Amino acid sequence: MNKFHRLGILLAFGSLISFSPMIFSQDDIASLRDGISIPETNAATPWNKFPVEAENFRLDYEQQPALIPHLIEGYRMDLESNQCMDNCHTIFKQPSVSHYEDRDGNILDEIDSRRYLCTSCHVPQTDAQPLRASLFESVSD
Amino acid sequence: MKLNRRDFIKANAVAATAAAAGVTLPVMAQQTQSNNDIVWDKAPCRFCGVGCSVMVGTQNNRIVAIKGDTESSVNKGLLCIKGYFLPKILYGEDRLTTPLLRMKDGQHDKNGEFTPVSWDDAFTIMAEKWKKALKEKGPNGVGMFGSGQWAVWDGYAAVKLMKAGFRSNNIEPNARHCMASAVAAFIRTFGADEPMGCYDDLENADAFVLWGANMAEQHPILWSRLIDRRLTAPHVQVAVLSTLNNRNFDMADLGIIFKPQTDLAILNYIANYIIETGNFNEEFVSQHVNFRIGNTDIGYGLRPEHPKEQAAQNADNAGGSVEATFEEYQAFVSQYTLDYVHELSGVPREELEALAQIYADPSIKVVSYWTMGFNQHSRGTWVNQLCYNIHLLTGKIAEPGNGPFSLTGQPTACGTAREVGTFSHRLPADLVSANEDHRRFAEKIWGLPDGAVADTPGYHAVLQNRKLKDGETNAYWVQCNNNLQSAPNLNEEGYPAYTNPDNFIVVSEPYPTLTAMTADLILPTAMWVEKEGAYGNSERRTQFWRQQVTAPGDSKSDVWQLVEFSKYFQVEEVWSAELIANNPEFEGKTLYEVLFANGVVDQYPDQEITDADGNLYRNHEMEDFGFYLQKGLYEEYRLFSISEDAPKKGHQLATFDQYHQSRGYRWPVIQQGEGEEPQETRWRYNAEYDSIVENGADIQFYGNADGKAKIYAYPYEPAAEEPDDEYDLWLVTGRMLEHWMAGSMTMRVPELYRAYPSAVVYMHPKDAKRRGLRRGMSAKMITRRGEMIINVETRGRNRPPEGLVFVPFFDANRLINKLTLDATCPISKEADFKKCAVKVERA
Repeated sequence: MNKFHRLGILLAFGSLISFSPMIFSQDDIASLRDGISIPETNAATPWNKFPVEAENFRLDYEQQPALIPHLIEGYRMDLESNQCMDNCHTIFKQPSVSHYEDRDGNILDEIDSRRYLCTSCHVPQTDAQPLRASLFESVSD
Repeated sequence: MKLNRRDFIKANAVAATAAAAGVTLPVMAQQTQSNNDIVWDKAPCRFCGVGCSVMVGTQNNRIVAIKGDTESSVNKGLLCIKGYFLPKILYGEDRLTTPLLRMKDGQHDKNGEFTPVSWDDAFTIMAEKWKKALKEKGPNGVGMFGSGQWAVWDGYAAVKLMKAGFRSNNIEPNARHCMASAVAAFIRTFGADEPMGCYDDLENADAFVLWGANMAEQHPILWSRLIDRRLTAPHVQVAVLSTLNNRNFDMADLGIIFKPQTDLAILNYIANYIIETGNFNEEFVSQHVNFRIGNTDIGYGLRPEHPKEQAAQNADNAGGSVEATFEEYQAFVSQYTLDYVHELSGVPREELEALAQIYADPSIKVVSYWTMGFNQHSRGTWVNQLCYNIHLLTGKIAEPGNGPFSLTGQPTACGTAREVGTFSHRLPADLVSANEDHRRFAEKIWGLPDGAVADTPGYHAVLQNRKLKDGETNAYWVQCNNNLQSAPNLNEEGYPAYTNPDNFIVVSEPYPTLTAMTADLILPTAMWVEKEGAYGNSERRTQFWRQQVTAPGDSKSDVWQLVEFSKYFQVEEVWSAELIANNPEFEGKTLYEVLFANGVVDQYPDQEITDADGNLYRNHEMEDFGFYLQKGLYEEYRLFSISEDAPKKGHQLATFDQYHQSRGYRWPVIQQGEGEEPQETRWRYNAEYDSIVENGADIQFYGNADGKAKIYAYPYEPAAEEPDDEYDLWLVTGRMLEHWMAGSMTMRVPELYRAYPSAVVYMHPKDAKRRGLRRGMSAKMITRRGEMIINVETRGRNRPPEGLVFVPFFDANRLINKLTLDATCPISKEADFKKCAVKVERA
């Protein structure tokens, strides 16, 4: 048996004894309409609210973008100004060092202009309860 | 974002110290975390057509992390929010893990409950249905709907199975809904598909014009490169055109709102302006351009009995045209005066002139970007070509920072759907099924007899739904898309199509989507890095990835399913008796033996797969079939582009191993010699960058026999359905940053879901007020085809003008496609998702 096959069996065993939570029973599957028929004109769910209290969101891995724990509605992000930075984030909870490197690997004094649009990566969270749980597991030590 | 040095130093001492000391901070590199049993390997992002490269972090057969790939020139270590949440897309709790057949009393029943069955049982009943449909209805009795998210070899196996196995051209990708107009225009203007420029244009242009493309949300990394250019080169201008105000306008020097459909007129006005101001490049035009005038009054691709189709003069010859002179073209566009176009489009005169000046001024290098605003358009082919016209008139094309660039929405509509030819009318490498020489060439590569490759035309995407509804296609396989949710006119066409009791619908899916739940048979499917794959992005860059983790339960990749299914057919059951009688060496063979165990696809034996660091990777198809399936499929496919006698030149791809060992290459890729790095092509048709161009020429559009591009004259024609007294608003549909397409993956990522849980209708506050609506209230939206209840938004990132509303289509609970119209561009057959007439009232 060659090295590859031994590794294959090792990996197969590995997945059997890992602690992954069980996937949904296949008898219980439903689309995200959760049983509402396609033709039905279903009512809209109530408007989800952005939380106004600051919360600490868990980051599951190093490069996961931080979630925004406050309202950002109406913040300017245009050629004239970036309100995220101008209001707070040059001083308080400033971006990670990765934001100060340009395309060619040079370290800059200011945030790299590639990173000007904060909302390409960073979003706030509403109080909506996910329709499906996530079985993602972060790094174990 | 002005920040003086002192503030900066106070705020970020570490970075400042390092910078002052000239030290590169290590954290930006490809470093693993402190936990050392994470294995990092590259892959293209699962999402959009930018094709960023990511580093996938795996531990214990699970994805645990992601990083931007610093070694890719596409994104240089940066990702957008969807890219950063890639690790979570595989882990929604409702992954499908076993084939599920609707059954009642131990038998298949379309109204039965989903019951777990084995793969063998699944394929057995599928094969039965396929054989019956072929026998009763002929080649178009079966159909396949695939994807611009299919890996290259998923699409290639599907093309072989359908076109050479079942001898049916009735295979379409969901890319018909997004890029077909772009493709038709490329072929009509240049004789060859895909852009001539590349992303390097972003660092070289003096001006950027976005034609309806929402780059900020749909191509964020390209937008970030564009903004980088804008913020670091003060002379650069950004112009944004759309039918509604959105995030792109926040970074625009020139923001233009125009009435839907009038892009046609604006482009003709610019052409007129270029000529009238004496700025057309006479030398370029005389050497490199022919003129034609296209047929007009070409209909709307609706069902033939529709009054608009009956009334259209050229509905049956939509693509026709006549040769023309420059003078005839000049006269044609001269009707598009500033006053006329201002009246028609609603755009202020000074904005129109400023836009035209960007194109006319010979010293401004300009890149035009567009996606669905141009493509999902009842004159989509025309409008794409009209943009090519203004670049051709000025010679602003095929050089760094200068040229038209059609952005691709999906990650591999280019690499798979278009290049492999997974369309009803196409074959690999820009060949077409209607061309007998092209079919002979395919048969030669595939080792098949003359006549094996299907010549009966198949049905395009919108037509497939109509034919399913009408009962003419009865066995249908959907892979890697959620077409029931995404296709236009759900109530009248899509839903009756899939629920027709005569039809057996098979859906290959990782999750129970709307489409899967309407199927007769669900096949659980491996996602992204659960299989070895390859994607080709918008700039012609093909990128490969290795399998990182195993798929859950019994789920299998699309390519595994296609190849395994072929075992259930003998040629006698699917080829004509005559074809077999003339080629008795095929007697008794299964399609598997003919198409896949053919000495070429199975030529690479079972082997170890490693990266440069010696990490070992699995490949579940190799384990099951006993040979390196992906390599065999790919190297056979590659022959279409590198063979000496390939009918279409300039599509050369690199080798399988070269792609695995690199961050991809932009084709045409020219080999340089044993062990040497192959040469990619950044700007096609330009002798300085493209070695296919013949000696002596500086620019050569070699997709056309005479080496010239074609300028077509087309007029403004109205949309299929415009607002009227009752349905008094334009309905525009589209997408949001946080969600990908129909939301199957992103709605299952908690952070993305919570960021944007439900679709809303964006309306102007005055339009809302007139209808007794306020922000946050429920409204009912109604078109002639359906209705939907949805919450109203009068603020936020999308700010429509009065008279227009916008709704994204990601939300299974807000099925906006119940309302849309299945009008298409009659040439490209791509549906217009951006224009129909709606009314909005209190719910």
